[in-house]
Amino acid sequence: MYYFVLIMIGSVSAVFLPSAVLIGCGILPTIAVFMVAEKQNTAQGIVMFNFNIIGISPHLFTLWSQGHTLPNVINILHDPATWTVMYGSAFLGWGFYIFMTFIIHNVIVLLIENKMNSIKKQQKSIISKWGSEVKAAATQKNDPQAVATNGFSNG
Amino acid sequence: MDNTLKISFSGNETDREFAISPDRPLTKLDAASAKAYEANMRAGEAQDKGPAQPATQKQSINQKLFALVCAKEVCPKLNMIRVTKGFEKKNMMHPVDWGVIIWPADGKEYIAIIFEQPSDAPEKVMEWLEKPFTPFNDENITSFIKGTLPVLQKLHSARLSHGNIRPTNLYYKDRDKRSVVLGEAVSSSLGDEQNAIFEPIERAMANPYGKGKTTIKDDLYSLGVTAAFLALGQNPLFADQSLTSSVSVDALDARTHKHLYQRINFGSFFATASRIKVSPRIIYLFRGLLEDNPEDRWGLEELEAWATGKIPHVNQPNIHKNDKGVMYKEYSHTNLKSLTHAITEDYVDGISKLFSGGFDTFIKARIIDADSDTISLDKIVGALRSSTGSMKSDVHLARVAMTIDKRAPIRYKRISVMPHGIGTLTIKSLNDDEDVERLCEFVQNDIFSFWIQQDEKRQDQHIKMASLLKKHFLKQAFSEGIEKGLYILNPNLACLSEVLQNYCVTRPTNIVYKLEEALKKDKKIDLIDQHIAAFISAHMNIPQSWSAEVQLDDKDEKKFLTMLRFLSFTQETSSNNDPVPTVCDWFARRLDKNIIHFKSKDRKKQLIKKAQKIAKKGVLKPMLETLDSAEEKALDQQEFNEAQKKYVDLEKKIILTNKDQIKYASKNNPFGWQVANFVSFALLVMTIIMVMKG
Repeated sequence: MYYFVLIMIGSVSAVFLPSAVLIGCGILPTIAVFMVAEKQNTAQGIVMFNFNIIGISPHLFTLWSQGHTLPNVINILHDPATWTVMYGSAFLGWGFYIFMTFIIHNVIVLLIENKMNSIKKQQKSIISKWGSEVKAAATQKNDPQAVATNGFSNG
Repeated sequence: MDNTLKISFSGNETDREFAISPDRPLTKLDAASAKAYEANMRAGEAQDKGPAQPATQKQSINQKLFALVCAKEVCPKLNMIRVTKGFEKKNMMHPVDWGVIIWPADGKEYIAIIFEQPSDAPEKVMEWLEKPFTPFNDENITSFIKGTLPVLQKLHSARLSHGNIRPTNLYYKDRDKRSVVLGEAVSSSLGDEQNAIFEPIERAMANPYGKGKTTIKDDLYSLGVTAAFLALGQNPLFADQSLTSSVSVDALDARTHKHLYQRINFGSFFATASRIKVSPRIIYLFRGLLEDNPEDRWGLEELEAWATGKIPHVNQPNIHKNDKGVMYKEYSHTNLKSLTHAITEDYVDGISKLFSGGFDTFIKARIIDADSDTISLDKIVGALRSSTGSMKSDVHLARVAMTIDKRAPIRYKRISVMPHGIGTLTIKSLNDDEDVERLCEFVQNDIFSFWIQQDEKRQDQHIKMASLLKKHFLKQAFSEGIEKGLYILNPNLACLSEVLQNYCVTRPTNIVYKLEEALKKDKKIDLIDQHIAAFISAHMNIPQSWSAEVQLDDKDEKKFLTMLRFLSFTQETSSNNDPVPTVCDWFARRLDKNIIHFKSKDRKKQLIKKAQKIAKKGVLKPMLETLDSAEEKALDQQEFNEAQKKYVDLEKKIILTNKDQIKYASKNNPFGWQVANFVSFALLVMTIIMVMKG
C-alpha cells in the first residue's frame, strides 16, 4: 500500500512536474514536522499541512494561470515572497495548533473544576446537615477493600 | 442551744415525731453495727393520735426511748421493723418506729430506729463475750426461757425470727438483775454480729456475712447456748480462765474455730454445755436446744412443754467410736463432715490432699462409721472420681464437699455461704474486686445449681434464685450485673451509689428527689451511675428493652438516654409530684453531647432547644418524650436514608468527572487538535475558494 501510494505520487508528479516541484518545495516544513513528530501525534502535522497548503495555493494558481511550465515555477520560486508566504503559513499553522490546544485544555479544566466544586459543595452541605455518618454508605461502596473482605472479590 | 434532731418518721405510717440527742450517746445500748443515742417523743405527740392510727400503734410509750443510728450498708431489717413495731415490748426490745435522719456531724443520712430503753439504767447481762458475770440459777434460767418463749412464738407466727439471741444482747430489766429482756434484732441483716458459737454448726461454718436469714430453729439453738452462758456466768470457751478484761479478737476467733471442730466431731451439746454443773432439768434443756440436727432439735412446742415442767424427748449424744480420728490441720477428725470442712477451709492445700492417690481408700479405711446413715461412701468415691478433664479442681472440690455434707454451706474457694446468705455476702464482696470476681466465678461455675441438684426438695425453693444469679451476675450491661443482683437479693438495702453517699435511699421513687438535693449541693456529680440504674431496675418493673442494648463499657452517650428514661419513670411513679429542676437542668446541659440518635443536626438542635425549654418545668417525662419521639426518629431515619442516597449519587458523579478530567484535561486532549484541525481545514477551503474566484 505504502509503495503503491509512492508510485501513484511519483506518476502524478511526473505528469504534473511543475506543480509537483512547487508543492514539493513549499510542503517541506510539514514533511519535516511529520518526520520529527511521534507517530501517534500526527494532529500537529495535519494542522500544519492545512496552513502550509493555504500558503502554497495562491502560487499554485499563479503557476496554472501563467502556464504550467518549469521555467514559470523557477520564476515563482525566485521570488523570496513566495517562500515567506509558504513557510510563514506553515509556521502559523504550527503556532495555531499550540494556541488552540492550550486554550481548549484550559477551558475544559475550568469546566471540570467548576463541576467538581459544585458536587463537593453539595456533599459538604449534606454532611453539614447530617454529619459525617452520611458518608459511611458511600465509603463502603467505593472501598474495594471492604468489598473484598465481604467475600465478594473477583479473585 | 437545742442540739436535738427533730425527726418526723414515716409520715404516712404513724405521724409521730421524735427528737434524737446526738450529744447524749448511750454506749451500753449500742448494737454491733449501730450507735445508740438518747431519744424522746416530741411534746404532745405521745398521746393517741386518733382513729387514723392502726390499733397497734396506739399503745402508750411509758419507758425512756433511745435511737439506734445505723449505717446504710448494714441493711437494717425494714420489713421486720414494719411488722414488729406494734409488738408487745415486755420481753424484747421491739422497735417503736424508724426513719431516715440527717446526722449533724457529717450531714449524711442514716436510718434511725427508735426503741424503748429496757430500764432506767440500762445494763447488758454480758458486756463482751469473755467477761464473766453473776451466773443465773436454775430458777432464773427457767424464768428467762419462759419470758423469751412468747417472744419467739410471736415472731414465729409472723414468719420472723430473732437471729441475735446472745448474752451480749440481753438487758437487765430491773436493778435486782432478776429478769432480762431480749435485745433488738433489726439493726442489721448482715448476720456478722452473731458470733459463731451461737450459731448451729452449719451457719457457724459459713462466712460471717454469708449466713443468710435465720429460722426459729436457729434462734432456739442460740437460746440454748445463751442459757449455757447464763448458767455458767461466763463464756464456756474460757471456762478454764478467769478473765477480767477482753481477750484479743484473734484469741477469741481461734477458740471459736477450735470449738467448731469439737462441735462437728463430738456434738454441740458435748462441746459446749456438757460440763456445766446444773440440774438435770436444765441439762435436758441444753440437750434439746443444742441438738445439731435441726429436725431433732427442740421446737417451740417442746420448749413450751419444758417450760410447763414436762421433759420432751431428747436424742442420746452420738459420740463416735473412733475417737482418735484422722489428724489434719491441727485437728483430729472423727467424721467426714469435719475433715471436709478442714479441707475446704484451706482449699489450695485441700485440693492436693483430696485428689492425691488413694484418698478415697483412706477415707474408707479410717472413717468407719462416718455419718453412714446420711452419706454413702460409694457416692463420695464416685464424686471424687467424677472429675472430667475440663473441670477445674476447685470446682471439683466444691462438688465433692457438697456430696459429702449436704447440710453444710456451699463452699467454693474462700466462699462458704448458706443459700440465703448470697445476698449479704454480695454486699460485703462489693468492696473488693477479688471477692466480686470469686462470686462471679461461683455463679459461672454453676456451684449453686449443683448444690440444688443434690436434693430434690431444693428445686422449688432455690431454682428461682439460681436463675436470678445467672441472669444478673454475669450480665455485663448498664443497670445489670452484680449490682442488680445485689439489690434484688437485698431488697431493703439502700442505694450504694457514690453519688448518693450522703443519702439513705431505700425506695426507688425517692431517688430522683435525693439526686435533686445532691445536685443542688454539687453540680459536678455524674448521674450516669451503674448503682443508681441497677437499684431502679431491681426495684421497679423496668422493661428489659430500656437497657438491653446498652453495654457497661459503652460511652456515656448511650447510657444518657437510658438514665433519663429510668429517672423519668421513677418521678412518674412517685406519689410526690414535686418538680426536679436541677436534675432536669443537669440533663438539659448535656443534651448536645449525648443525644446522638438524631442524625439531622437541624432536627437535633430544634429538639434540644425544645427539651431545654421543657426542662425548666422540672418534669422529666415531657423532656424525655421530646427527645425520644418515635415519630421524629422515623422521619429522621427516612430523611437520612435519602441524604445518604444523594451523597452516594454525588460520589458517583465525582468518579465520572475525575475520569473526564483524565480524558479531556490533559494537554493531548483530542478536543484541542480536533478544533485546530477543523478550523485550519475551513481556512484552507476558504482560501482555495477565494483564490479560485480571483
